Amino acid sequence: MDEQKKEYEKLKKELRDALAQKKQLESNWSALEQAVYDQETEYLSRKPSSKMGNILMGFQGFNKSSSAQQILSDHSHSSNAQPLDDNDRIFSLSSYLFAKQLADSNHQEQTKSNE
Amino acid sequence: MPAPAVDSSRFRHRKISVKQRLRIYKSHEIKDLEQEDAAAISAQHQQRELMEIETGVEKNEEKEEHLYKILQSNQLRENKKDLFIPTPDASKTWDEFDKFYTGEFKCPASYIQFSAQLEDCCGTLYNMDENDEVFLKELNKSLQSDISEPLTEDEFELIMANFESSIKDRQPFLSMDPESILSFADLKPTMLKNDLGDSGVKKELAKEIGMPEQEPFLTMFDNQRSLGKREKSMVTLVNLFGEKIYDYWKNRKISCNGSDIFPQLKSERNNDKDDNDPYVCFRRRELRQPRKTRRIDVQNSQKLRLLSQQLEYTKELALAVAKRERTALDVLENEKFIFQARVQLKALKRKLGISTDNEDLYATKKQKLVSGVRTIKQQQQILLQKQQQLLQQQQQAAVTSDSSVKRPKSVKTPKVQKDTSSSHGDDKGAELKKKGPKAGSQRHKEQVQTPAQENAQSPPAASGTAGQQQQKQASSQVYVKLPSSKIPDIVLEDVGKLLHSKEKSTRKFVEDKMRKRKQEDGDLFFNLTDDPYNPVFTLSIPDHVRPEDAPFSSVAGSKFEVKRSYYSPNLQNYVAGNAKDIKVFNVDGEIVENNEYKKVEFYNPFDAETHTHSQEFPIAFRRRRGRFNTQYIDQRRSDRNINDMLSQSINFEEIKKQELDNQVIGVYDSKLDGLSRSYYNWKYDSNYNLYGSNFSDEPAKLNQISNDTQVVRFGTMLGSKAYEQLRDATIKYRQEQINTRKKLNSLQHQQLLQKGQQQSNTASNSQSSSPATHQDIQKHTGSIRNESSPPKKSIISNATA
Repeated sequence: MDEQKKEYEKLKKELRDALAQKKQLESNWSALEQAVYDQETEYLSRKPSSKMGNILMGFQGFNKSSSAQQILSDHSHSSNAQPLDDNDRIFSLSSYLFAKQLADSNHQEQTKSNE
Repeated sequence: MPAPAVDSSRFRHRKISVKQRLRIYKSHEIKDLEQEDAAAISAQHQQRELMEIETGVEKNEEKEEHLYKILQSNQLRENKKDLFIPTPDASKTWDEFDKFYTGEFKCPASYIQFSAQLEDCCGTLYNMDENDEVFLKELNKSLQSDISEPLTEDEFELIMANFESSIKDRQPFLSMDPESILSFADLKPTMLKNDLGDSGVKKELAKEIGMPEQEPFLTMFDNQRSLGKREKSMVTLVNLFGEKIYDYWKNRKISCNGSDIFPQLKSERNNDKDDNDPYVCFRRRELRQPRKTRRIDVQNSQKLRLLSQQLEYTKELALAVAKRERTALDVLENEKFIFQARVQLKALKRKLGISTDNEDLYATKKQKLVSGVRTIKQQQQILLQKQQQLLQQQQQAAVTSDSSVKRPKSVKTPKVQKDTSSSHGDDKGAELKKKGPKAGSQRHKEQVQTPAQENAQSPPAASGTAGQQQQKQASSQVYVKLPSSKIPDIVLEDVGKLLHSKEKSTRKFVEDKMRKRKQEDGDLFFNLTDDPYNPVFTLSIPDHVRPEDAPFSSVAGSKFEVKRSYYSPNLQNYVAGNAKDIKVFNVDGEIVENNEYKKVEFYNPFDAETHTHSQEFPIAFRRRRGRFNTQYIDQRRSDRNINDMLSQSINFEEIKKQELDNQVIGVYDSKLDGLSRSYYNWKYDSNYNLYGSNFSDEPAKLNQISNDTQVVRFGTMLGSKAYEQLRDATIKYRQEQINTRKKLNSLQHQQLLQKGQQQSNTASNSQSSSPATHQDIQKHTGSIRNESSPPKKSIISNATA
């Protein structure tokens, strides 16, 4: 009996630790997800990359001399930024949770517009 | 090379050089030439000419033997059936294939993806030869006793490759003097550092992702089978076998004269071209150097830099994703552990019969994992909200700063007020003394702010205050969203922010000063100058008039005919100086026995000499001088409870009750409304002038006529004035009408027009004499005459004169 009680206490402690760890892990997780999202946003919205290409579009334009001039002159005028397509977020979309969130929000918007 | 004379015009004679290949004619060929067969020559000619025709094959390749033959036959339209380009025989199968290629290929559902380079797949850059095989066998035999696991061939190759690369690092010019090769002890640290094997690469990767070191995992480059195999790390390998292999390797190295043991393909070094060396495998392609400009150089380097940035960033992203997945794995494992622990705990709990315990440990409500990534849209929304908040703050700051700026201006008003307050002592017979409710003063503060706000919004007034500038800035600031890559690293100072902080510090300084002052004054005084709306004057009202209805404004005051002063029951006695019931108070407000005072004295709050007063005055003043000789009036705090005083005239209980009951009542029955109306009484000045008479009586007194006459006279004056204006306006209007009509009609109507003018004149005359308008105007003036009393005075005196 006494042994069992001891084990009970031990298990309880372990569980408590695990719960604390869980919280920590989940916050880490969401932080990482956010970090990926942010970095991705920065990467995809980078202006020169759109001319030269990026990992999504490929680097076909890289060796074109015209694009080189554009790249260099790009620093002066960089307006008309295109909005990012959420489907381009391959890094974020590799997470199931994010994909779900995106789908949900899209769905909500659709219903909203329907109303 | 005998070139026929005919050809000389067609063929340019080139200088004979070493590089030029010369055709060697053999004896039987020369015979042909000697015959000078015209046909043969022409054929040859033809052949040469035809060769000039584009064949569609690269010039260098035209000379390939088989192709050359085919081309020639093509052009000469010869039979070409037995001419072909030989290809290697691929018809046979290789019996030993299964022996060497053992992997199982599974066809993937999608395309086969492969982006690894050859070096990533071919394993160690060292291949064993038969010498190594012999050595390894012997080594394993000798080691069998002390080590359970023999050294595999792969591991041997790994170690050898490491030896090779390490020595290349440390002694690049070993081939000069092979005997000077480093000892094992010297070489070991370098070897440990560059771990080229899969395990080393993986270890590095695991470190970057944050995987625990000993956990096996697969990359896309690994095949499925290698998961189970536990590879020995370089450290263990070197520690176990390094020394034994070293001697063997050293000998081989020396025997190779310090060059690589494993033969390397020969390629051209930087500049020493050796065309004659047939063993050079890859030769440099000779290209005409493109003309380079500085700009192209810059462009190219820039492009390369951008590309490397791109790749770097992508790598970081991929790593971040890997880390995320790794965390997700941890979460899952953690979840599993928690579940198991809960199951065990529950079972144990039942066994032990524990019923009360921390329930949250067992909380089984399953929470769905939700991703909380803030997307751009949400971020923008948040940003927008923040901006709005900022804007509001700035506006508020502008407003408050404005009011603080206004403060010094208001210093002037108390001066006037001081005068009035000191002379207000003739409100002597006061029975009720009322201090404005606190709420009232707060209300006033708000009202101070509203004009300030209007000020801020109106186009910059004469004094362009900082607050106004700030306000303008806030409204004209345009928020442009920059891409994050364009935002410079330095923290930019916002002008609005700077001004805001400056303003804040100034205000804090002033507030500190005020607080200090307040502390010094203690409970004795409070600053009347900066809070001039705090009412300190006494007032009294007749019994049948409720305080909330009492008219205190000079405007409203005229509605009530004041027959006598309510301030004291027997005013005439007081004025005459034979009143018997004068109460006298000493400085502390205690009643003193009165023998000498028969007349109510004027109260001078600054008169410190007198110790007794005929009136209990709840307020004492102090005058002090501030900076720039500004006068400040402080009010001494009274001991009496404000609420007590207030409740004498206002029935708070009833207000409360009414509000609680929420009865529907008329405006004049509502007690709360009455209370709020009584707040407004303080907004207006007293209805008594300096010497105690009613303001509404004053012009009458000046003109030495009765008040009623004065009212009528003033009314008429206003009426005649209004009439004059009306007449002017009418005439002007008619004139305009006439002018327009004039334009429309020609000279024929001139007579008519004149008549019309006469008519209009008579019409206005008749209007002026209409009694109705006159009376109307009189009625109106009744209520406003007090307001306009000062101009009235002068006008009337003119009139009387």
